[in-house]
Amino acid sequence: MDKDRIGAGEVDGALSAAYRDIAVEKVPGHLDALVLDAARRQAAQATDVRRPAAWYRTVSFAAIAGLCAALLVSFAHLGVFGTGGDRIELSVPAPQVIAPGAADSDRLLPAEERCSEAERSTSGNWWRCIRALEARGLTRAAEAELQALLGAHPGFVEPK
Amino acid sequence: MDWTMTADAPASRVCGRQGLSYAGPMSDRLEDTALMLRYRDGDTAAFELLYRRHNDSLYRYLLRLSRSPQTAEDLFQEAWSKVIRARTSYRPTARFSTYLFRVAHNCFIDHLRRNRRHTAGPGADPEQVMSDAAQPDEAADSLRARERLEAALGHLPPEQRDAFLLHEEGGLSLDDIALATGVNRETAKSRLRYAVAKLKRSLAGKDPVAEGVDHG
Repeated sequence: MDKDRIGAGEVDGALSAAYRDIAVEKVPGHLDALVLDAARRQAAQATDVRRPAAWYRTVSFAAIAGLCAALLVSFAHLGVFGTGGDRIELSVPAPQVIAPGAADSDRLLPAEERCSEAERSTSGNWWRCIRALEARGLTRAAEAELQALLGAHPGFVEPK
Repeated sequence: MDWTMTADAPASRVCGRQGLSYAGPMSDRLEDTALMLRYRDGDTAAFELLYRRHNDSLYRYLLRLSRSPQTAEDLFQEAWSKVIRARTSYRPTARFSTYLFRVAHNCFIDHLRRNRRHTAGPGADPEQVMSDAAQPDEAADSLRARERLEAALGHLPPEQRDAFLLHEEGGLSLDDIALATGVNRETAKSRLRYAVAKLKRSLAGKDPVAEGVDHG
């Protein structure tokens, strides 16, 4: 008897003990079976309701995977990852090459209008490149390259 | 006699009546609430353990409250069915025993409302018991004392019997009894005090019916 909880002297030990002597009934067995069966059935039904069907899980997984793939492709196109792939062409001018020795107004030359490092390796090759530029009508590029050649090789004499 | 619930309980309803709002100490029966929460998540073994802890006491509570074995069985099954069905909304805001006995109490009240002319069970006539007790048979004193207690219990006003049984079978405190029966603490205390006084007089061989006045 929990006298502290029930209050001072509300139920005394003798009365409680006397009651315990007569309160000996047990639940009939068939009631135990009924209640426990009901509990199991209810839990099983709830589990079935909460468990998604197999096709639902498959479709959900495929949808999520597809969405992720689409996002990755989109990011790749935008160049977010900084790697290869089909980049979107942005409205930025193509890189320009600075011709060595050229005047400030002529310093920026497209790659195809200047001599390569290999052509510049010898004065003869460089000169042939200059002549090729002239032949293509790229006189300003040729002049710039000639100025560069003369700067790199001050004693250069144009071949006859 | 105020044998109906007061309406100061929250909106949640159990067994067609108001539910629990009391957030009293739970530490002594924390295992019960944990078991109920596990059952809420589908663990039927947890429910079976919980059921085994309370089945006999709940049955005795309903048996003596209704004074009819058949009614007790029906109410017992109904109460546990309510607990099972309400498991998804179960919240451990009170001791599980308080929750369980409140559900059972509400089922009994609903039963009374369905059967306005509640027939008394096969309880013994207290006057006959008093007469038997007067016989000078010392060997049978203990047995007669138990019979007197049983009879006196059966003849208590229902709300006093309810308070006593909730305390004895459910182990409920005064606060819990008040919560389970929907009355304030002083009313619960008064009911329990009168019940105890009458039962003690019956144990002493005094006639509780002749002395008693319904103070419920």
